[in-house]
Amino acid sequence: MESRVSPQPQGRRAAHMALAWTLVGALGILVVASLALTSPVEAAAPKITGATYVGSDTCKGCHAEVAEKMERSLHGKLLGTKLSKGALQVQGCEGCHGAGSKHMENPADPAGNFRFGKKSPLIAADQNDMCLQCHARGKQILWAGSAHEARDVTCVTCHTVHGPASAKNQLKLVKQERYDSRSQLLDAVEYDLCGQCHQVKAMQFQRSSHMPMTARGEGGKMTCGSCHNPHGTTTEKLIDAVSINESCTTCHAAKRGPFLWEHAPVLENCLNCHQAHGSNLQSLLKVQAPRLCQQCHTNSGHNYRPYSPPGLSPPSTRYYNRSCVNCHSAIHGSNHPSGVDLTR
Amino acid sequence: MWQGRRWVGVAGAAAVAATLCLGGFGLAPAADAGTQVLDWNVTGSVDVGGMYTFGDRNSSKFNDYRDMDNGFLGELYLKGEKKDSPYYFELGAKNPTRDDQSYEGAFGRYGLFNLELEWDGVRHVLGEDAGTIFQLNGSAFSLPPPPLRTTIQQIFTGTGGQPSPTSAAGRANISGTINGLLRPVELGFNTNVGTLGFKLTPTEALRFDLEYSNRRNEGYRAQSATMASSVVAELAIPLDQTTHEAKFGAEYAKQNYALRFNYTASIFENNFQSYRWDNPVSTTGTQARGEFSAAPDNMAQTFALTGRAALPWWRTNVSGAFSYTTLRQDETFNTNVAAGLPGATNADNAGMTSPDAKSNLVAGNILLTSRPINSVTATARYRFFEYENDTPMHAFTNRVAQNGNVTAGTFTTNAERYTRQNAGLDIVWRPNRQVSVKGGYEYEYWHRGDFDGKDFGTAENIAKVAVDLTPVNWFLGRVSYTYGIRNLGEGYGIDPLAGNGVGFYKFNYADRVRNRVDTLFQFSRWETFTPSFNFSYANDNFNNSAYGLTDDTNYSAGVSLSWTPLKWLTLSADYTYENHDYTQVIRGGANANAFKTRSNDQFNILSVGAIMDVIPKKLDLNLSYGVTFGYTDINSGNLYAGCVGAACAFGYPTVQNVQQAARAVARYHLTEKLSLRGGFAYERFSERNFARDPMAPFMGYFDTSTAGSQSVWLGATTPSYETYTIAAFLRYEL
Repeated sequence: MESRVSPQPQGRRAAHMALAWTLVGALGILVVASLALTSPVEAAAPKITGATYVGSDTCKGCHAEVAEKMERSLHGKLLGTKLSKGALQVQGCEGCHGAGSKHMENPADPAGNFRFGKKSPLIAADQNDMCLQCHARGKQILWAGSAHEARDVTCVTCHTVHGPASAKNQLKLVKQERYDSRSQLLDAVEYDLCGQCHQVKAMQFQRSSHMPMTARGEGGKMTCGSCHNPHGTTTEKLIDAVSINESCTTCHAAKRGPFLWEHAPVLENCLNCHQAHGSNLQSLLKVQAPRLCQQCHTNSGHNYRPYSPPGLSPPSTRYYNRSCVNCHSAIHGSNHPSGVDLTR
Repeated sequence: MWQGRRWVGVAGAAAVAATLCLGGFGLAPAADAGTQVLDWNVTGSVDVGGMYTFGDRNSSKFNDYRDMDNGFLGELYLKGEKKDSPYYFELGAKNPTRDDQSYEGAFGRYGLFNLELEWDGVRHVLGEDAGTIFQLNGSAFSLPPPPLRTTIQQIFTGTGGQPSPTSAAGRANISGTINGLLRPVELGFNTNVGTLGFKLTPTEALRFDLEYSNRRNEGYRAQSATMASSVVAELAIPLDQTTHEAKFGAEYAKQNYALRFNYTASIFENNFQSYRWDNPVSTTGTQARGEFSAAPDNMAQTFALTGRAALPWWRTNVSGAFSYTTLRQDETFNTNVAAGLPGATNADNAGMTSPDAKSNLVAGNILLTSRPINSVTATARYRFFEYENDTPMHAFTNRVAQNGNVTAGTFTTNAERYTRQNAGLDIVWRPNRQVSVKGGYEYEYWHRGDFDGKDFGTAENIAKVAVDLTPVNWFLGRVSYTYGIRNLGEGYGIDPLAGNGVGFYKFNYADRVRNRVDTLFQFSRWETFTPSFNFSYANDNFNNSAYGLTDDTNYSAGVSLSWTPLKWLTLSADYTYENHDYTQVIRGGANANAFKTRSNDQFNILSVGAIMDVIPKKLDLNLSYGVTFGYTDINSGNLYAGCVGAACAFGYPTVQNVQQAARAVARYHLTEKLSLRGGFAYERFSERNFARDPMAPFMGYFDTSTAGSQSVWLGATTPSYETYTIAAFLRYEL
């Protein structure tokens, strides 16, 4: 018999590709259009009207302590030094705080320079625009319109600017140091920082079944940033990949497939069955099998039975260990010709 | 396995010790922080110490993810900057000689390039008490040779004069045989990741990234094989998997626009294509051996283009991303029919011997955000994602259901595929600095093809509102509410699944009403006391599902406190309570046998800590305690009276675990650069898990059904543990 069947009409695929390329084209046109517009755009960072640049050395005259701290940070290495590139970096302190002449005239005038943080007179978007003059690229390229941007989270909510804080990314230290059971310092900076607002998610890593999260101190190898990009992504929950599955299969490539026999919910979303942040059950499962499997498989074949505890009803291998997966061990997909039931 | 890379660790340990000596003797301190070595100013620290654990530590839970063996511990971090030059280097090492050791190194020039090298290991311990009767040779699990092999079959099948396996004598016979042959087996694996990265920023606008990583899993994990209906052989299968990943990125960014291209290739290689095992139930003839496939080699490539531009109207930004991912897999099929059976073949009916599996993922995203007036931001977005399945369908005549037993028929693969589109508009209004109100609408549409043999769509309308309040700069309140209605398209049909009756829909596309509330309140009124509170509630009501998942409700509440009552004392406390309910109705084969199940998870998680500067700049003390109580209840009951036998539903015993960890670390500064650190940790874990606790290589006494009494397990459990760990370090800071 004929065994090869084209899985879907070519025309439909072509339409999808056309749509996708149209999007790319539209983006390209917009970029080109922007390039063509030489006048300064309105989205640029705010300026202090009438102020002139005084130079970073002038700032150091009053802010010596800040300057000393900053020299040890990456900002200090690049801003207002011989390594500066472009017009903005050369401005040093004033690249971020605005031209300083008015501040020099009246240091108490809050309008004389730009300040950052909770007490800043600038709204969050304006504060961030100052940073984005240089940083609207790389991981931050999709910041505009992102979830954190929309809730007025500022760059300085998470990052320090003047001095070194965390080993990487100049993150703020929001909690004091903690140690693991080997009395070694935990690298929990990112976890604590994100946990300020996402406390429940952070605490979920304290569940019995969990990933090797750095903050747990069990040889921790993961941080929030292993899966998420807080600066904006195209995927829900700020997942730093094209899809949730792509994020998971970065480490779990064995489960990536494509397989000969697929398990449909696996194709869609690993989180249909797993809780990434922690679970009370083995393998980060959301619900104990067989009940998890029975959320979809309730009738056909043998899967509809309650599988009650021993002594109450005929016992079953589906009651203990990995339950349904005791037999359906290729649950993420099988490459065996007899794997239609994902048992091989 | 754990010994495999000791030499790497020994080298690392030598490096740490050498550096300590280097730092400790003969090198002049720099004028500022750091030590001068040739032309370099070197800062950092070296820790050398050790640990000892006593107590009941033989639990996979205690050893998972970390190497808690008694002995040497060390850490090194050095950063060097060349005097009057922008060059720098970094060196780091943690816990050489251990399975969770890590190393990192970097060399670069500020503002121009950075070359990074990392090596990182993590230990996965899956069981400490597993045993097996099988002998592993390559990827084949064999039973002892005849005549013992024949005897095993007779004992398992009740032939050759042996008692029936379901009788007490038969079960004793099997138990004695298994326990007599049992040998301990390692259950766990190491993941080691090596990464080499290079970043180049030749100009302010231009940046290139290049990265290669090698991820290797090596060890053993449990996997079950079916020998007959519900008869299981659990095997400790060897793992030898490598994932190569290469990334390239190029970016051109100016203030008003940026364009970025990324390419990623990921290649997964498995040194095992399949696993074979002897069947204790039948050691002769066509049912003697079975086979299942291993995870196939596969490759993924992603091409991505991302851009943003600032437009000259109303402070408008546009950004977009397009990516195209190809997933490929073409591992040769295993033999379809158990070896020795007539018609054994590894080809499908068209003669293909591999799947030629091809899937393509297309993702497009465009986002426009604008501030037409200072107080209003509008954001419009559209996202398109397609999982396109180009794998040819394969048909196979007959299949092996259990070893040697052929189920007749033609079995044809599916080509499930789907598209997902999201379009949304958010408006944020900030009437003043104290209030921000966000309203939004999103439309989500899924189209699934060949799911349950149907092509159909689901559409969801989602409304969102969020209010952020900062009436004073020491208070932040955030409240958000989301409401969504999802409808399954008519294309699905009135009678959804043949034989399941009207009203059964899978939860990922069933009709659904979603309500979600999230709140957060943070106070920083007092410099020494900063409390925050949060509460969340979420409900998914599958309002048209009579069967399957019908309701998913969860709520949580948490508080986080930090208090510095004295200059030398800081106290902190975090507590979270979570409750999660899944309600589902299972049809039980017939409406009369339907039963309802409620799976309830509850968590109480508390952590407290204190940090004390007992003698300023001389002695400090760090105390912490954390406890997690986790409960899972699964209650079930029939909807109608009159259930009989296996159709009767009962609740499962509670899955319950308690984890505690109390730690105290004291640090004493002997000199400005030299400090001594000593710590004590108490850990306790206990768990009751009905699914895992009874596990033993032979479970005929627990499971007296015919199938159960013939299964052979590894018997791995998750024992409780209670440990005491002491550790001490000498730290030198350069």
